[in-house]
Amino acid sequence: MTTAPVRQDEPPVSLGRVRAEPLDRLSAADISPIVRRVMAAHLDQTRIPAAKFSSFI
Amino acid sequence: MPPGPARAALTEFVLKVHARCDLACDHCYVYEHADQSWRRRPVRMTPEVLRAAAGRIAGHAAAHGLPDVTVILHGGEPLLLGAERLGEVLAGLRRVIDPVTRLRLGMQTNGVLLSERLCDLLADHDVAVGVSLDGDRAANDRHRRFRSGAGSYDQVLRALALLRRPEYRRIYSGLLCTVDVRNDPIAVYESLLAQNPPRIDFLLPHATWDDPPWRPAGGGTAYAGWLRAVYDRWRADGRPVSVRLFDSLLSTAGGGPSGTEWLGLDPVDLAVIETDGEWEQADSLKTAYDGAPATGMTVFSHAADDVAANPLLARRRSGRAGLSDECRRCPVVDQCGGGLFAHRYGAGHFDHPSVYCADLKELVVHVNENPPAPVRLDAGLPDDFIDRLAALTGDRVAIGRLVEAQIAIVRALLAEVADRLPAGGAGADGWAALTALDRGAPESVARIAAHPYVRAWAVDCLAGTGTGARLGPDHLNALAVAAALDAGTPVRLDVPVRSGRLHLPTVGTVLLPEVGDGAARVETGPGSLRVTAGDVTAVIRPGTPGDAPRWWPARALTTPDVSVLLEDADPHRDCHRLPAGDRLDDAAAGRWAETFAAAWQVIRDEVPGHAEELRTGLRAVVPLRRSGAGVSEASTARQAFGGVAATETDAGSLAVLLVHEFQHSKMNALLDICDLVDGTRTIGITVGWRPDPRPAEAVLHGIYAHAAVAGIWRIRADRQVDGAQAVYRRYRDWTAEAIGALQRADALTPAGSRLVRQVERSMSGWPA
Ligand code: SF4
Repeated sequence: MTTAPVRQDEPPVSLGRVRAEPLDRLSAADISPIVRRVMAAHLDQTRIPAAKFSSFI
Repeated sequence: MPPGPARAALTEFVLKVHARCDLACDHCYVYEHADQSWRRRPVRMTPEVLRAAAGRIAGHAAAHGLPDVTVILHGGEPLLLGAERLGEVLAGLRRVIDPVTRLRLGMQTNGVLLSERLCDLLADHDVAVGVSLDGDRAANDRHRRFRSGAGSYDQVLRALALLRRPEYRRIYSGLLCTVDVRNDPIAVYESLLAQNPPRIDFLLPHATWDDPPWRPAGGGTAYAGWLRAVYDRWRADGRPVSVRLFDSLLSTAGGGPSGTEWLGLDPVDLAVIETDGEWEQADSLKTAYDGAPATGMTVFSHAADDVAANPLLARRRSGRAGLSDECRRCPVVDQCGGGLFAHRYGAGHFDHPSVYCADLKELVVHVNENPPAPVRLDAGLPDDFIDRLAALTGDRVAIGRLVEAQIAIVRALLAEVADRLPAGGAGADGWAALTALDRGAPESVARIAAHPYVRAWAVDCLAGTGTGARLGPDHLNALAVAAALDAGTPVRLDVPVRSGRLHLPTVGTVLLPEVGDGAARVETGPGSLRVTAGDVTAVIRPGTPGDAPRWWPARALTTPDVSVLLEDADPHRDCHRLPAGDRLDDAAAGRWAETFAAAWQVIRDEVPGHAEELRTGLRAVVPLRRSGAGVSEASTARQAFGGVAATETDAGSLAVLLVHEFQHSKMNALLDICDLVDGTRTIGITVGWRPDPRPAEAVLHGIYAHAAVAGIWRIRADRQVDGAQAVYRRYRDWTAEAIGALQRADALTPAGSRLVRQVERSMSGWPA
């Protein structure tokens, strides 16, 4: 995943556009905020890894 | 809600399978610190010890009804066992523990000896492999050196390149990095990230008050400063990878569990088994004093319950009560928890804060004051959308909007999976076919994208955390074939096969035991599939009902006004809190069809608005494996909107379960597009339906689901159904009390408050 910082001043991404545009016309600007939001929620959910043992990741 | 494991149970076991190491890292607690017990122990764990250990773990899991246990192979260096003995150890553990509970296997290695052969073996036994790496070459080789003094960086990078290969990616568990404040924090972070790990953790070097950590002159909280720099960069990056330390602090900030033994107040439920079969407490105690981890018990003489009762272990499971006075009074104790137990040692006892106390305090405050900012999405929702979704009578149109938003989200995830494909690699053909179909038959692509477990797969893929039968990016080819069949468009693609199964979402599963793990060529024709793998060719007519020798068609649960998939084959359906069942035989599928049809009548009769919602948004029902407790259980998954998983039950119960779980699914979909909880508030809220305090988001889920359940039982009470009045009151009271508690906690955004107020208003006319 890219590590370019998220700019909080950008307008929110339109889900309607992502649904309507052909898949191969979607740009990184269209999809990246959605992916970041979903993956952040996923991280929040799965934050708790399988093991608590600190000497294993 | 199933009962959680009993408090006294241990769920995590560290097996010291090899007591020596091929590196001689000078910060290693096993050899270089106070405890020197390694000198008298056998080098390898013997088969007798392993058998006894596996038996103790299986017995413990059975006695406590544990849904899963984790066993971590550790050392020394576990790979020094060699492929043959390692294979015997893994097979032995699976043979004894698998029949009793879900066994999660893990291994921490320095990576030096990792080879293709070993990766195959570890993948075969589904072992999550964590690797120790301290950063870039200079940082890593500062400590992680061979006895000759040569650095291990090149060997570790070679191991990581192996683990990143598509065939091994699913066993790559993460990177463990020990902090040295002399290294540049950003260079370390970037070099770890460059290895594309699914997870990272930063560990503080083991130290005690008797033997404090090295600090630069005047560097009072140098460790906090170092970690703050990494946190700030990670946050600015949009959290591209899970970092256990930061995730733990964010989780406990919201009242959630810490998930690691070195932070928070979660009870520590792990024990160590040494090569000679001795039970030990946490390994890190080796840093405190010689003999510190000892319990005086062995796997031959004592069960895990005896170990759990050991006073020091019991203390580490007693939360705040087990801490020093200073920690108990500390404002950040819920998140810090006094740090790693070993780091509290000094002057013969553990009644101290951590030797890193000042660093921990500064870091916790910094994280709390600088939470990650949510990314905003514009779902084009009308002003009254929240009110409509909060209406307990159900609102089909509002669910339609959620479905549309979900399809957009899945499209974005598919595009991201495709974006990360290597040029011309597996999955590229599928993506080309899918994009062509999206132009010619967009409704077919939308139907596949709406299948709940497509999103679950995409998220697994992007997180790099899939295990077992889960599929990689080449699953795009399977999605394209499924969409092509829906559209009646011919395609020819190589589709992945896992454990002899080629799965086409929403269509069915081709059985190819000859292939095992690999791929098969699939060609779609009018109403047919031709599948070729080596000498095997199968022609399948997906529309024909009934299992065929090589074909399990997807089955539907159908009534005159609704049809949902009976999902018992998609590998990604197993993303629920509870384990999914296997493919049903015809008799069991028939029972499900009958029960579902009867449950549907109940829903239509009792809560017709919810029936309309389910008709719009419910896509799949996943049969769950029945647990030992024998009670009805059900679950929704955050990443699978429209999927409800449940154990087989009667129609009246299934009706309630479907409505209850779909409320969770709706809430998950709403949280995807709308911020309802204020992420900056640190709280745990006590609710009626759980013994432990819950974070705000979980309380919101509970309110939303239980209000709907109360609504059903209110109707049943009106109709004088036996016992319904008491159930109605219980759910209504739980919901009303939780609404009050959540409002008092002031943990919601304006949208979240509006939703809760609306639920409260909907309930206000209900009878006492
Ligand atoms: S910050 Fe210090 S006093 Fe507070 S809980 Fe942590 S170690 Fe104890």
